[in-house]
Formats: sequence, C-alpha cells, structure tokens
Amino acid sequence: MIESTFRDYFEALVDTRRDRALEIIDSALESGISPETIIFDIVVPAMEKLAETVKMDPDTTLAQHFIASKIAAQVTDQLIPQFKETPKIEGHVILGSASEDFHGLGKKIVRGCLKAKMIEVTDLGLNVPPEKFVEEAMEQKAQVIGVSSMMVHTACGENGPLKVREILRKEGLEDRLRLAVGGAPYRFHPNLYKEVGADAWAENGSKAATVIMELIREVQKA
Amino acid sequence: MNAIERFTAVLQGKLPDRVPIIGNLLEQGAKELGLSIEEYYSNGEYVAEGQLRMRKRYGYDNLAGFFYAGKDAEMLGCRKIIFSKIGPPNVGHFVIQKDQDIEKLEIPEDLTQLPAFEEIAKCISILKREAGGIYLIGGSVVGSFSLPALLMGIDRWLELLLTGPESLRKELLLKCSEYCVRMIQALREAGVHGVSYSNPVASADIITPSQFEEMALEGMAIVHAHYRASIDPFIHYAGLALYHEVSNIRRIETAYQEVKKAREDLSIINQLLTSVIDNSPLAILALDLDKRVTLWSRAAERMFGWSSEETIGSQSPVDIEASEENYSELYSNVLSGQRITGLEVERQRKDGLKLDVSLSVAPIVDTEKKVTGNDGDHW
Repeated sequence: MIESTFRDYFEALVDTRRDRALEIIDSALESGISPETIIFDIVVPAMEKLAETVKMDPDTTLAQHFIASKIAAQVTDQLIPQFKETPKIEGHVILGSASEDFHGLGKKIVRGCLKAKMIEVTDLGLNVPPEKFVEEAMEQKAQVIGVSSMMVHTACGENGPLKVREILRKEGLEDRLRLAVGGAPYRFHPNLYKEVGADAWAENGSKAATVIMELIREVQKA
Repeated sequence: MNAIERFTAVLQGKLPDRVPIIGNLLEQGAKELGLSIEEYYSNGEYVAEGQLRMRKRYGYDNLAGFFYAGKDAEMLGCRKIIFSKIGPPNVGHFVIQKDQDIEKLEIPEDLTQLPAFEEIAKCISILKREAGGIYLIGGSVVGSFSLPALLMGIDRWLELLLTGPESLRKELLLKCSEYCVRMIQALREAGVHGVSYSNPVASADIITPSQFEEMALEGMAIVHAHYRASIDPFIHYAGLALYHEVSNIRRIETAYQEVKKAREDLSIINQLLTSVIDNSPLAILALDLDKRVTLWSRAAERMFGWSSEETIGSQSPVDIEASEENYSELYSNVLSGQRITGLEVERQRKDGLKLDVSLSVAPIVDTEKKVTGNDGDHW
C-alpha cells in the first residue's frame, strides 16, 4: 500500500500535478496510513528521489522540484498537528536571499525540504541585509543562516555571505551559528562557498536539508 | 567580407570567409569607459561608446543595442532597478504584486514613446551611424514566457504557472507576447538588424516538454507570426539553460502556422461581420459594461445623426436621454443574460427629432460566457 502510494505520489510530482498529489495524500490518510508514515516514508523520500533523478534524467525540471517542495511544506504543516507525539524539532534555520538579490525560487524549494525534515524555518524573503540575518538568528536562537544568491555578484559581493561571516566573526558568534549558501553561482564553482566565507553549500533542496541538518548537529554538540 | 556580409552569407547557407563571432559583452563597457555601471546605463551615448570600444578591442562581428534584462520591466512600469558595482542590474520592484495587477497591466501601443526607451533608441542610433553598414546591430527582448519573472518574481510566476488559475496565466502570457511584438517593432524602428529573444524560463531546465507545448509555444509563435517575415536574424536565446526542442524549427513552424491560420480565420470572420453590420438596414450599436459605445453601425449613423467617431468610447447619446423609467432595469436585465425583442420606445435624433423605434437588446459574452456588454438593434 505504502509502496503504491509512493509510486503514484512520485508520478504526480513528475507531472507537476499538485492537486493529484494532494488527493493521493488524502486518500492515503483515509485508508489509515499514519501522518508520520506519510511524511517520512512518502513525502521526504519522494523529494529525495526527485533530487537523485536529476543526475540521471536530463528531463527533470525546476518546476518539478518547486511543486514537490511546495507540497512537502503544505502536507507537513497540515499533518504535524495530527502526529501521535509532538515531533522533535531538529533545529532552526534563518533563510533569505542575499542583499540586492530578488530571486526566491531556490530558497522556497529549500524551505519545503527543511520543513519536511522537521527543521523550523524563518524565511526573511528577498534582498535581505547581512545584519538582518544575524540579528534574526540571535533572536530566534537559530543554529544556521542560509543565504541564497542567484547571481555571481550577490554571492561574492560585499553585502552578501562575506559580510554575514564578518559580522559573525566580529561579534564572536562563530561557535553558535553556521553559515550555509546556495544558488546558481555555487554550481559552477564548487569551492566558491569557501571563498564567500560559508561553512557549506548544497546543489539542491534535498541535499540542502541534509547539509543543514549536519550543521545544526555541529552547533548543538559544541 | 565585412561582418554584415558574413552573417548574411551564413543565413543564406553560403560559405563566409570565417565563422561570424558574436560578442556578448554588456556592462563590461562601463569599465572600458571608467564609469560605474549605473552611470554607464544612464546615457545611451555611453553604452554605444562602450560597445564600439569593446568591439574594436576584441574584434567580434556585432554591436549590442541592448542594456539589461530589467529594462523590459522598466518599460512596463518597474520603478526601481538595483545597480550593483560588479554585476548586471537587477529588478528591485515588481510591477505585479497581486492578481488584479495582471488585469490592470497595460501594454502601450507605441513603446518608442516611453521614457525608458529613450536611451536605448539613442544608443542604437549612434551605433547605426558609426558602424551600421559594417557590423550587425542586435537588440534584445525578454521572451513572453520569461517576462513575468521580471514583473512578479520567478517564484510567484512559477506558482501561477503551475497552480494558479488558467485564465489569469493566459491573460498574462498574452500581454507579455503583445509586449514582445511591440518591443521588437520599436527596436526595428530604432534601427537594429536582428533581435535576440531571450526566453530562459521556457528552457528544459525549468519546464517539461509537455508544459512547453501547452503553455510557452503559443506566445513564441505569436511573436513569430508578427515578425518572422520582417526580421532576420531572429535569435532564440536561453543563457546557459538547455533549450527545448523548439530550436527545432519545424515545431515552431507548426505552432506558427496554427496561430497564423487562427489569425486569418479571425480576420475573415471580422470582415464578414463588418460587412453584415455595415450593410444592415437596422441601426446596430454595442455598449460595454460602463455603457460606453463600442460599435455604432452605418445605419445607426443614418438613423440618429451621430457618426461613429462621435460616439465610440462615449455614453450612447440616444440612450442617455432615454425616457422610459425602467431603462436601468432593462439594462441590468440584459446584463444578467436576458434578451429583449421588439420593445417599442422613443429615441431622439441629433437634430432633436423624436423617433419611435423598436428596440432589441442582447448581452455580449466573452469566451468564458461572461457578459462584457450589450448589443442593441433599433428599427
């Protein structure tokens, strides 16, 4: 049953049919599959499978990731209150697009992936000043700041991740906060994340959730 | 062989002396002139000078009469462009903030009159004067499927595209196609040889082949239907993204033929309707939802004395003075879908003469069966 639900759900994601995907989730719930199983054995693995497919199948598109992540966020929000036990929130992440960057698609995909993995997200939106990232992270007691950049100059510019790193260093916050980055420029230059002062980067939403989870654990251990 | 001859040879399938080289250098011109990127783009003379110097330095075959992608958003009302010191300018204000903004979005008929076009025109005219006979001058427009990303943000555009109401998506795409058609016209008038149609959101990295067929191809075909014959080369461009098979000209040709046929069919129907209306002995007029005249037939001119030029766009002069008390009720009944046949009423001509007329009224509905006005016959 779970296997066939997974198959149908994944097919709906590939076809970018949001309504069909939600219908499948609804009928799975009606047939008695638990909300926990739906999230951890269907929604999250489907998103991960989609990310894996990119490598093998050139026909995978950003639209599919977008829909998958949007549904993941929606279903997670809807089902968490129905969990038998309140799920353990793994950590808290502050997300936003770099200063002067008005591209929000990748960030939205990451947000959905993080939510489905029980990571709390504060999304600061587009064109976020570096100071705001740190300020909000302190206020929310977050472990990770995620800065998204679509363009080379917002990734490498003086008000992007470099400045966030500088503030963390100056204020002595580097033990308490990790900096992750993502977006098109990092895909072309695998070491760029280091040059902009980040601790990690990921090439897609699903990997971002894994990488961010590791960063959260590092901070929690420290 | 000069650069233009080189491009022409390639387009005609002949052998050029060497492969023509397109240089895609844009804001790099600012450094060439020792200006900030913001200063550089503030004046078409700077952009032209930057282009001329860079072409000379690197020896390629074209000149770009093109500023930055956000210009297309500025042409449609974007009020803020963010100029970086080290990268391309970015849209800092989205024209479409909510669904109603799509309905309100208007594409001006003549884009050459917009202030945002002024510096582009200046730049192209200098390039033409300095090197127009020798080097290929290219313009660029953001394609109809990608323009919404500049007007509302890529995430909101994908949301509308994939999960929003179909009618709204179609309305926006149609308006964006109209913009592309008019922008290409404006660039042609300014003097470019060719236009790059930059449509990265319609690429294989973002949408599937079936989504491309279903949603993107039509807009591109509309642009082709208008300009394919008059503009050459017409370059499809998607940055670093993989393109759908549309670069396969046969598929665009099929879509183009479909749009062309639909346009021709529409034109035949329009001619037929015009002929029927013009030759009808009945006075026929149509009103929109604000009771403004949208059609005033020749017989209406003869019967009432007002010409169609006098009436189109204004309140109907014969109905303003309508004496029957239930005129408003009649009007709202028609708007709710009712037809009126043979109602005996009195109307006044322009010269003051009173006429007894028989009035028939029917609602005008759009393709979604929504009432958009009413049509009246008087005899």
